[in-house]
Amino acid sequence: MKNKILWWVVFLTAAAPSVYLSIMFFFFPRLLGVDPVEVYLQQNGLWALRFLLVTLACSPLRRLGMKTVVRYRRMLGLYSFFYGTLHLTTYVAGWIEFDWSLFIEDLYRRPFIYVGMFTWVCLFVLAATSPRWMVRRLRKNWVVIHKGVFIAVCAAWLHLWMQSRASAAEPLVYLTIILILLGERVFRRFYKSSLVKPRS
Amino acid sequence: MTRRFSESENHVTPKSMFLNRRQIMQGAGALAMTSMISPLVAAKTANAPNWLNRKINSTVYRSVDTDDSVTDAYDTQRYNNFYEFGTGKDDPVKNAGDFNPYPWEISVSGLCDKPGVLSLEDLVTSSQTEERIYRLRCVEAWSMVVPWTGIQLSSLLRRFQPNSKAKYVAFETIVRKEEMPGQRDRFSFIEWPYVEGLRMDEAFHPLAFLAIGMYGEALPVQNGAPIRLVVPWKYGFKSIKSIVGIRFVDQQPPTTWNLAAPREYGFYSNVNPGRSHPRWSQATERRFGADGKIDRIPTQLFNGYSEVAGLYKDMDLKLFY
Repeated sequence: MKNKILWWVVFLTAAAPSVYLSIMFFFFPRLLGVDPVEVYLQQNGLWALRFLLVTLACSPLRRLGMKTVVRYRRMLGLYSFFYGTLHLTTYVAGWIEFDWSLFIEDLYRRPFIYVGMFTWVCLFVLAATSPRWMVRRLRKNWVVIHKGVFIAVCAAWLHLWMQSRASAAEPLVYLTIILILLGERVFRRFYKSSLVKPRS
Repeated sequence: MTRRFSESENHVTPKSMFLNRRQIMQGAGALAMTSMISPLVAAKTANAPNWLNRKINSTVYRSVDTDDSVTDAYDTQRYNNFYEFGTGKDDPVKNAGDFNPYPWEISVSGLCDKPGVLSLEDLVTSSQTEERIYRLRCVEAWSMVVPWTGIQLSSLLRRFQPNSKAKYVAFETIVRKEEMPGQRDRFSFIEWPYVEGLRMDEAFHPLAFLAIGMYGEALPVQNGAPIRLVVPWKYGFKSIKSIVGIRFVDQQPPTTWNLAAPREYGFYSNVNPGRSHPRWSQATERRFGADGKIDRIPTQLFNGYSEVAGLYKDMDLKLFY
């Protein structure tokens, strides 16, 4: 019972930014900003990155004693894909307005666009292989495929970094968080493993 | 009193229209939301002194007009690239309150016979001002149409009698770290002061303009108060804001964005749909309209100001971007 309530709390909290942004975008666009499409585009993209970071924080948090968080890891990862898909859809429908010649030009001329597309493809593969039956079916391959989350987070950050042109402040905040999350894993693998003997 | 006598009056937003925030006010729900986020909505116009307001209010001559609809002033005052006040589009309007542009002085130096310091008050009261409606094309592929009040750049430059050695004009924005939070950003890619430049013949082209007002009012801080350059055939970042220094020089002067990313931003930076930018396709632009709507439209060479083409007739515009 308690778990069920917690599940809903996590589910609705994670959905809240998209609900807020979408209500504003569709009903009060001018309150979102002078260029509502730009704000909607950027905010959904940022939330995709944020959820990727929260997903990556789950297993370190479990090791710190917060055992339940890992139960929501899949959901949080799927939310990252959800926000990433909103971001991509806004780019295609709202930003370039289905102008496919502009899309093709962007794809081969603008590195930040193809890095962004690559990030979305990574998230898509992760999301598509996330159901339980896929985990069972893919077995050891699943573990390998889902190492792809580390590629996705680096690509997502690169996509943000490539667009910063006046100040590095915001991307550096995200980089710090990423380095902590990845650094913890590297530390555990190469340093701690030499101290503690593996269990099997 | 008829302030304007242009035929194309219907293209121009009347003052009463652009002063009230009409679109967003439609509907009671929207009204309630507005009061919640009013700090974002309220645009501060700097407290302009009387001599400035009087001059702008008495400006009746519109020397350049356009068939394009004028962008809603609401948008023009809240969607700004003015990195001295932050990198977000709404940072300038939010952070403009600490900046007081009055009194103001411009120092003019370099290769001229009469260098000196000119107060804004002396400049404004002694000049014949006019209104010009210009398209403004940002390198980020968005554009606006703005009614500026001001004076032709050449009329200011002539006062200082540049000599024959002067080949370029260099401009400089004020540095006031305590009033401009963007200048305090430790991770900024931009060095302050913001600097820009024009070739002498560009600066003396009749289209090059110095604005002290827009939409019939003194310039708001976020739009470059109290005085800014407007070069309508070049990308917006060439139109340097809050100018305190002008220098006549014989070498091409350094320019801020060219220093930050030389491969992306050249000295000339003429609007050119044929020269693709690493970040944005320049073939089209998103135009902010009169009603808050944004349309994607094709971009024109020199932003449609083909009369400047003569300035570049022997130059490869893809090489000298």
